[in-house]
Amino acid sequence: MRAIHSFTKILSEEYGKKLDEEGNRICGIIKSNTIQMGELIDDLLNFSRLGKSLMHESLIDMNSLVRSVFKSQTETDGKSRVKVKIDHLEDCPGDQALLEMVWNNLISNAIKYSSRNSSPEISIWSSATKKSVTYFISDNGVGFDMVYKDKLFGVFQRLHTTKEFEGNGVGLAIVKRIINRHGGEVYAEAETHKGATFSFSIPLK
Amino acid sequence: MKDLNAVEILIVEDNPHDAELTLRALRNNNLANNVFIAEDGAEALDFFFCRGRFADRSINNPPKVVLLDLKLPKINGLEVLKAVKEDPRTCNIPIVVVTSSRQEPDIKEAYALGVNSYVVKPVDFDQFLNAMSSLGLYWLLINEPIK
Repeated sequence: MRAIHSFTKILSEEYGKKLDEEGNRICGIIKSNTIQMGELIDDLLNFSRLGKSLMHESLIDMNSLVRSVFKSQTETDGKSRVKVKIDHLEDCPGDQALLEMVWNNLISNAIKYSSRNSSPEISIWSSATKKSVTYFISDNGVGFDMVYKDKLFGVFQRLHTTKEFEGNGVGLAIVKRIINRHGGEVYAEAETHKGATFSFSIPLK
Repeated sequence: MKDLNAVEILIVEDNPHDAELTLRALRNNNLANNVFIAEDGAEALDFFFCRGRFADRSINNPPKVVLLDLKLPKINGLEVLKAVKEDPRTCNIPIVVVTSSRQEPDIKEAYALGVNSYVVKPVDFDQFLNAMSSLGLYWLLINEPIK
């Protein structure tokens, strides 16, 4: 995959002037497809490893975890126009690396699907009972029709075309698998064009 | 917008690059004049049943063949197939599943639902072009549909 991507890049950078507009467009398609395929391979590898890997449990400082994930995503994407409100979050027991993957997916989704809004807003909060902590993330993005809610967490299931929003349909399947391994549940609520709220619970031991 | 009642080939495919490759194969055989591309299962069903932005289309002018991908946003290909084959108004429209899935359960379910043909997209581009143009030629020129 890397070779295809690299040689196409060489082709367009060093021979781009000899190619006409259509030739350059085709090079662009090859490059974007190899990137997508690379992401898909990584996601599927992650997804399959999740079934087997050992869990390393500790008490997770959710406040710093969420803030650091959010920071890394808005820095790389330059999407700092997102207004974010992070409440004080309860800590919970869990696997730091896996829960980081969960927040990475949920936060990148919230950023992606609210990116068409002129003033995107994301809120993150938690609520605790004696038995579990539930974390929520909501955005004011495109949302989805609740008719499709049972499909959301399936592998390769998407509710948007690649033209509307890029993605391979693996992210939320990863989230569900990780939360289930923690003994928790995932939920989603949304309304088309009015945003979405995703939540997950983690049981307290 | 072109005449939706003249559509001969309906392609149901969410990946614009895959759709472009199929179009290219059909164009090589001058079969690409009356093609419509639906980008997800929900749009395909609206087309079939003349709903939403397809309300002006007549259900009595079905396409000659439908090339249906399985992995689609919202409503997947097998669900589209089921809905179309269950309805007496649309059950005779030839549907060819065109997919990269060689998985036995997908193939079995597609046939059980009444698919007219099941084609696994060859990875090799020349073979893909051949497969798509044979498909187009067969369903548009050789097959005799119900009038």
